[in-house]
Amino acid sequence: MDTNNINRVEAYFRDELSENEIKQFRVDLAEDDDLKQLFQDYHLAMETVDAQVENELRDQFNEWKTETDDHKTKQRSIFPRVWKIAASLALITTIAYFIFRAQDKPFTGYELAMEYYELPASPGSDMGKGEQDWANGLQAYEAQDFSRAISLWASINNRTSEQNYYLAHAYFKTGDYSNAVILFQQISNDISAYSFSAEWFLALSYLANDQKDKLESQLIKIIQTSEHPFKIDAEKLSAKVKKNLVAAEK
Amino acid sequence: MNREQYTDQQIVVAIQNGGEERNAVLNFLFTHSEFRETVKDTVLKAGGNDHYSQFVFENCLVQLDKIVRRRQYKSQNLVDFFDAEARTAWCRELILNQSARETVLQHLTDDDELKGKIRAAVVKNSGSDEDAKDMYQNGLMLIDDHMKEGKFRGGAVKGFFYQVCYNLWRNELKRHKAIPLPEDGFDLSVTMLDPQVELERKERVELLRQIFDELGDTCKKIIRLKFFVIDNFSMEEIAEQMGYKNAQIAANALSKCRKILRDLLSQHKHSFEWIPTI
Repeated sequence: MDTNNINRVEAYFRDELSENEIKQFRVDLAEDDDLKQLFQDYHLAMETVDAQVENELRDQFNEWKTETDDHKTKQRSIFPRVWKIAASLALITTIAYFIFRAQDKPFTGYELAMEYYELPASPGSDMGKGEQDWANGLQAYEAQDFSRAISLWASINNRTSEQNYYLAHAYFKTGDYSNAVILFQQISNDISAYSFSAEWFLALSYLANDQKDKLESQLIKIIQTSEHPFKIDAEKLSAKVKKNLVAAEK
Repeated sequence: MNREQYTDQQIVVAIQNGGEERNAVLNFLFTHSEFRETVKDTVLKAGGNDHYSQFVFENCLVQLDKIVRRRQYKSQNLVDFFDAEARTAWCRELILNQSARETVLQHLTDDDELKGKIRAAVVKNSGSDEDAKDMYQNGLMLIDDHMKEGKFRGGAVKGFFYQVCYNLWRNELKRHKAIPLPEDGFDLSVTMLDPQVELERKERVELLRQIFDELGDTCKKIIRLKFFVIDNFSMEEIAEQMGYKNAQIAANALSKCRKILRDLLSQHKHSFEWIPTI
């Protein structure tokens, strides 16, 4: 048994070889049949153990699932049904009270915008151009580090509508509504897959930025476009804005 | 170690140490809602449901255990790992499992608002209602193909589907009306996972489980001790656990068992081509 070969193969699998050592190892694998066979044997043994361990883990997961389900069933039967009904009624009554109270409470444009705002999911790094800044910015976006996403994306020349769209959302999330407005306006004026969405988020940006006149005309524009996908949202928001203004004046 | 809360580093070390420590930490990961919710969020956005979210979560745990034992874990933190691994595991399932693909298609067809947005995108760009319906139906067929071919990357599937339909319409316009629409598309020529590789990997795992069962008890034990985590046990420790007199005898026994494993693989007419070159 060649101890030296064993040591090298094990060092490789322990990730202990330097770059130069790996290069040499690669060359030797091609030339030394004994080393190659040993390497294959180790790979085979590890994959065989992994297959067995996977089987065991899945059995263990089923056991843990059964234990969790048994525990939940026991908990459910502890409280008599009548107390559960009483607790539910009390909860519903309390929630209803606060909802009715809240409907009369005036709120700021920012609060209302946040109620309607939903951050779009990342499109994934292959769904745009292949620049490194775009890909790195997406990682930052996915990690909710919007300032970093902005610093990477703002420097890209000739951005596509898609890139502008996600940049606008990054500005929105950092509270820079002015820049969000500029970009959403630009995308709304172009023809792209993001035009309709940009029109809606432009409205939310006006709302968050307290630009009431522009908000009103933007909502009217959306509501008057019969096939607009955000028409219903715009109608609801418009009604709420009017009510909020009436409540504030009272 | 505090069983109620582990740092990422503690989790990695516990898995490599094996035994009760590893069990405790895997149980923690299994029951801890943060990672489960991360996976659920990813899978649901990618068109899955609660059943598949659970399945993918378990796959993520199996994969984490494996790469930690193989000293290949390089993530910054576990939440990122679960998010990325969930996408890969879900895409793998979509390649191999027709029922999973049907779940995604159902998720899309249940969304009337999405249908409306696609219709709006076509109609706003010189299309009719009929055109919109055609793009929608063609889009469903195309997305099914993309999932089978490993071209779906596990992100938000509704956005992906919207883009697929939009690009279908853009290509239609190019063909018939020469009206240019902006290129907001994405490159579908690169696959995330190779369907052939995934199928072979699945078959190989089944075969290796079968081969392990065919080993004798001695070989099962010694191979497990040696290869569960490489260098967790020295040959002296393995000799002691196996009841051998010294490390040399243990090394000889291990060498014989490796040969038996190799011969079993050959008997099943399987080659070593799948072993990656470095």
